Amino acid sequence: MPVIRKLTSEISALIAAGEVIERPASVVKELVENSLDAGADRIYISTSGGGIDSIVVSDNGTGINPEEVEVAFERHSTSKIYTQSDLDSISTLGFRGEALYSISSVSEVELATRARGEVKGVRIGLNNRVLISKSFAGIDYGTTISVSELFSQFPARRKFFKSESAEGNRIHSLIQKFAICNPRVAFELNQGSSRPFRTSGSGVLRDVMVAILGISEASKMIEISEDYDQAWQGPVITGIIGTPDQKRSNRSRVFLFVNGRLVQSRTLSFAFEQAYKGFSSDNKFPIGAIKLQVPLDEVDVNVHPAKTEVRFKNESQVFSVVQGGIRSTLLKQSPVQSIVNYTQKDPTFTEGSEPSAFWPTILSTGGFEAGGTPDLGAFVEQGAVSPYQEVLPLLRVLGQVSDTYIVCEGPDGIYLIDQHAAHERVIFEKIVADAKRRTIETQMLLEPINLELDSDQEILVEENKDIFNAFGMTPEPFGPNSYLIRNVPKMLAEADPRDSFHKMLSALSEQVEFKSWEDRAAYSLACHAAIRAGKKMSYREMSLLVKQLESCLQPNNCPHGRPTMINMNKNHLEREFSRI
Amino acid sequence: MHVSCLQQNLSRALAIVGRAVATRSNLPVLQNVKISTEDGMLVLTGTNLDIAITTRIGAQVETEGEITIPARLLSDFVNSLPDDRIEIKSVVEPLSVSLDCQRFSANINGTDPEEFPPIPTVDEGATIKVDPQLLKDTVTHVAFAAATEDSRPVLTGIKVEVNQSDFTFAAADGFRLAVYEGKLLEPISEAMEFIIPAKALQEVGRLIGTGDTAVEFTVTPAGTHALFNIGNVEIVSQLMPGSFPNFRSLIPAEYKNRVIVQNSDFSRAVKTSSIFARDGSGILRIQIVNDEDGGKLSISSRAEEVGDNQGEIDGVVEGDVDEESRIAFNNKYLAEVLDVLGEGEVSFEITSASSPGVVRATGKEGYTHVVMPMFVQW
Repeated sequence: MPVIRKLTSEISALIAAGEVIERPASVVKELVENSLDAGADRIYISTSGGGIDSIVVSDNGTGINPEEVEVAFERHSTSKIYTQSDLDSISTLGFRGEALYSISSVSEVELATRARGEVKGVRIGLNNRVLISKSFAGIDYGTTISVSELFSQFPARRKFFKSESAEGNRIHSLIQKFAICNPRVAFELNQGSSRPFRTSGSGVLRDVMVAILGISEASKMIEISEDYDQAWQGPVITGIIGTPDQKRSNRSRVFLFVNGRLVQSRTLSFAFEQAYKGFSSDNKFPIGAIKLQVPLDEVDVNVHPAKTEVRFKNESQVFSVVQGGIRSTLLKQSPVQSIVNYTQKDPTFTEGSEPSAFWPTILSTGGFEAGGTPDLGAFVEQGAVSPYQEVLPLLRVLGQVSDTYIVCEGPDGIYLIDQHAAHERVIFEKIVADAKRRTIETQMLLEPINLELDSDQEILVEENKDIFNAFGMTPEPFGPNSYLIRNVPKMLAEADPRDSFHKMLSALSEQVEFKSWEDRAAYSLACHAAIRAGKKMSYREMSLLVKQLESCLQPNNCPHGRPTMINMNKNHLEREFSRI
Repeated sequence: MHVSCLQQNLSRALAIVGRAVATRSNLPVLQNVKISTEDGMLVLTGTNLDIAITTRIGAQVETEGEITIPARLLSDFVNSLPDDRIEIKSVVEPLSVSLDCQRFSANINGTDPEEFPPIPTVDEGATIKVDPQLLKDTVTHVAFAAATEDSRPVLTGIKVEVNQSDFTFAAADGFRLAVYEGKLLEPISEAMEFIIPAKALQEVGRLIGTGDTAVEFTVTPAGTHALFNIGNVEIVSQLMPGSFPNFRSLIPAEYKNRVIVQNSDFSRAVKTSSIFARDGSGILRIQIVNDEDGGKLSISSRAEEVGDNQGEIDGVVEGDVDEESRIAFNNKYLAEVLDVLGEGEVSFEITSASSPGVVRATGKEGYTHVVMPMFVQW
């Protein structure tokens, strides 16, 4: 029997389908793209069970002619391109002719459509590509597709689905992106339990941002205003961006579009971030929606079936248009105080300036990998004495360098402690211990604080109810999108409660898996409550911090996995001074 | 300009206006003091644009004139001079002043007084008259409760309301509220309200000192500045825009338990407990007790891994006392209010562990201090 055989067309079709359709969100993506290509200006999406049970996408687009309905489900059948030369100037979202084919290969599909000018519509049902019903239907113009039993015949694929709420979230964020990209189209997403996401289709990008971020954030954002020469043939940038103060700790609020298609592009996101350089000094990421119009022959979207990757013919031109456009908008419209904060360090300088002959050694982390999962709960639960406790030597504080590092003398040379990371570790362990004993103290506010949350944040709050309850910080609903907070945890009492809340939320939104909610809570608070790098510390403060660090269970890393201390041992010193 | 005055007077005046001179500013003229003559007096003015202080001293004016010179330099030099008459003459080229006192002399370069920012004046509007010691007392009792951080700028200010013959000063920082109500010396016809930076009001309190001349204050018609007149000193402060929380609704209308205690006992017990509280999270637990020995307040604190303590003071207890007659506070908030209340009886009112506590002084009917509790494990 031959070992290498040609796959049957059935199997190769399934493999191809798997490339296009991975999870419920990819079904929604393909169907909404079809609706948009059909010129719809009202698209209604509803799902149940996070899209795993069923997905319905309904539009008021051109519809499909009755005689073409079945052809539409054939492989490589499309109305969007006809000749090879069309491939060089693709203006529609879809074009490969694989979407409907792939979807119908792995699920039950019912399609009802009525094309413009037809007196009646058609309804057909397919089960894993087999036509099971076809009838005429009295329906409005447009197309409605219901997809159910996704991958029900492929349990191996179904296994990779996340929880219903996680799949639902993906669909939610996908529709948000479509909405930004198509402000003229009114979207409505109904996922059962939570509040429906709706946009008005007014054509104003800021209106869409209001639906996504809430009125207070969206109203602060700045529209990109670049003037172009009549003769300009290159890329054109439009969009709406956050002020330098509206940064977030992750990139989840960056939306990049090229020719109306949502893309991921390192070039574009790097250009976006670089434009903010100098306006604010933190390591956070700007928010905004950037739309780039590039001449169709300057860009290749046909890199991968999911079409999220793009290649530009002239990368450097795209970079300079994006970076320059955003930067000049910021310079023109940004509030002045952000520029005053100019303390940006040049990363290339700090990296390059490290003497090559200087090898500080990171203290043994005992299998705790940097960037890995902060895992403290295990030690506390076992009540075991951490083996690292002995690793941390007795230290004598000598002083502070750059208002950031504490210099100590220890049994083997010099120890440098990062004050922020060390304090973060101390606080992290305290919170975990307090949370386990249920003794987190909260301070009641004189006046409740009113917060506006966007729908993503509402979901986050819902998912982390335990944490907010333990902190007494449970947001109470107070009208649409609006919540009240009556208490703050003691350790955040000095800070602005609104700011603290948002920082906690953004820490909670990071994709890190935790052993327990106590760990997650501690993680969300510790970084925020810890002393900053750049703060001058007195000798007493430093000694206290070192003492507290010594009594930590896991003193060598901050909760994010960065080292708290490095050691320059006697041997190195002697070698550097050519004593040995 | 040619004037002469006594070293002592000039030195004191420079110390007063020096409070408003900017120490670091990108506008160099703000580090100067403006010296001018007016009606046979020497007028000194300093400003950092937030506040401006002007004071007048008696002087012999030979020729009128004005100039600005570095405040720090002038005051350090004048302070080192013997207590005698100082001759001050301005020189046009280069723009400077010469000072002569006994056998000491100096020339200090100055700048054109035109560069000095104009100090707002108030010519119209009602003038409010307050007893100086009452105003000073009000500032002491209220200003410390204002926020020091800028997270909500409006809370770094003090809300002032004036109505007919009453005034109300209120400050809050998000966790506590201090309100002082008092009487004006003379009723006014129109009501007025504004928010003034706590720092500026604290300067006013400091400048009143032990004086007994009525303090007059008034607000510009546009509501941008307030002007306080304290004897020979005028202080002009910017007012803050924004809306202050409706503080009256934050004062509990009733209470379940009230305890009257001697403040000397109460503050000592709070200070004692604070020693342990500061190693923990700064939490004081207060339990009201009423048994056969009489009414008591029990104040305790504990710090994990360090230890704990408890203290008791006698008091007159009102209301039904049970297990739930207890409350926890941040020690700082309680210690600070008891500190300003001084000697005498204070009343401590609570309703439950999760509703605000109120501290009042029996001698000061107009004063109310609200402190928000902390939620703790008992």
